[in-house]
Amino acid sequence: MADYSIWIVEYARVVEFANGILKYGDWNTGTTVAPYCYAVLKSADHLAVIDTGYNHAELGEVLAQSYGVTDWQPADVVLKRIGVDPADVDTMILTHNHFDHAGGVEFFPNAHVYIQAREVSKYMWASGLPDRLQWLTTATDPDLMLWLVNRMKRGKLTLLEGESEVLPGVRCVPAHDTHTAGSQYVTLENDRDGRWLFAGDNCYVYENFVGAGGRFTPIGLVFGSVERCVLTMEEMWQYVGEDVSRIVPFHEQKLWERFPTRQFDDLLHVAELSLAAGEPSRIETAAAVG
Amino acid sequence: MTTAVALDGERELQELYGRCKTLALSAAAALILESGVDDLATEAERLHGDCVAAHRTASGLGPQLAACVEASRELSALLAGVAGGAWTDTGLEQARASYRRLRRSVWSVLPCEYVPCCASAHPHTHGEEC
Repeated sequence: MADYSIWIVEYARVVEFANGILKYGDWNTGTTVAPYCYAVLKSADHLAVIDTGYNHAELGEVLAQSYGVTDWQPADVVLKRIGVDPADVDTMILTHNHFDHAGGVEFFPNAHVYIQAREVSKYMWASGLPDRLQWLTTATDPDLMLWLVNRMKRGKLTLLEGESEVLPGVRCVPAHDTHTAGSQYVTLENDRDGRWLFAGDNCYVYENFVGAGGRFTPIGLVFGSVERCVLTMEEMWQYVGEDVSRIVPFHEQKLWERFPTRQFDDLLHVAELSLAAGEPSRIETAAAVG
Repeated sequence: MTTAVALDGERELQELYGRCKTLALSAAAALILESGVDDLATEAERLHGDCVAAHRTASGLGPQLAACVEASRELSALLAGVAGGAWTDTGLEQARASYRRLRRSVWSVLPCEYVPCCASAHPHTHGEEC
């Protein structure tokens, strides 16, 4: 049985995100507001997050300043808006190991972590290369990796080798050598309303799929291969039956137009994509905690 | 201190910080993957010796080089413990904490090395060299 409620919670945003990063080739065309989000899946038996945001302290704060991230809120604040306590999250899927997706892992102390083994092993390989090649490791962080050691030591880390169902109806699908060496995206076959796909950074915005006269335009920040990015987009496209509304990009501000959404006083949004049986809408009731 | 000496000092710090970072990354990945760490333990010991020597002879950047000494020492202790079949949560946390202190200290004098530093059209706040 896979009956999940689905929310997308925004925990920060970049007011001036360079278009050339969002879409390959859009150089010198200005900037766009880009939200920073993660997904929450809730069933009768499980509470899962897909990515975690980051901690606006230490590395997170420095990088956030560097990238122009504003309006950050911690997990307990944004999750309270949908009635979720981070300590109750039992499953954490990391699409990849960049700070804005995996930098909030410590907010979920009881979650079992799922990440592609290749996302770890390729960093080990790259860190052994000469210093002149260390650009390959500059988007990840030893401190975060050491935290994952802590999870592993407690039996709360699973390294995935390829595609795997981690919860009923929820599959991690490798997207290797795309945005990062060991990226993955997440699919959900929801009994209630069919297929959903959580893209990680395998696309940033809907226009990666539908913006250029029927041709895909990949993202502009690729550590792997642009070819693999485009072919992975095709896999994703086929999974959702060519329905872009079933793809959830975590840096897409149009999410707030496409789904029932509430914006809070801190400017951040929560979108409600699906409600499981008996689950009350958090968009309508959220005012009480906003 | 002359400019040339200062640049040499920065270059040395950059090198030692880079070695601490890549070694910490390798160590964490090795522990997660449960692969051997003997070579890494040896390298950590060597790195710690280099950090101590640099700190002893430095004419500037003392706090940053001291942070290198501490981070490499904690990393070396962690890896020695792992190689010896005994490592503790405390050792892991000390390695993490000392690495964070090193990073903070280095970024007070050198630009943050993370990418993509120019993802956004905004003024940099940690340095102007990205």
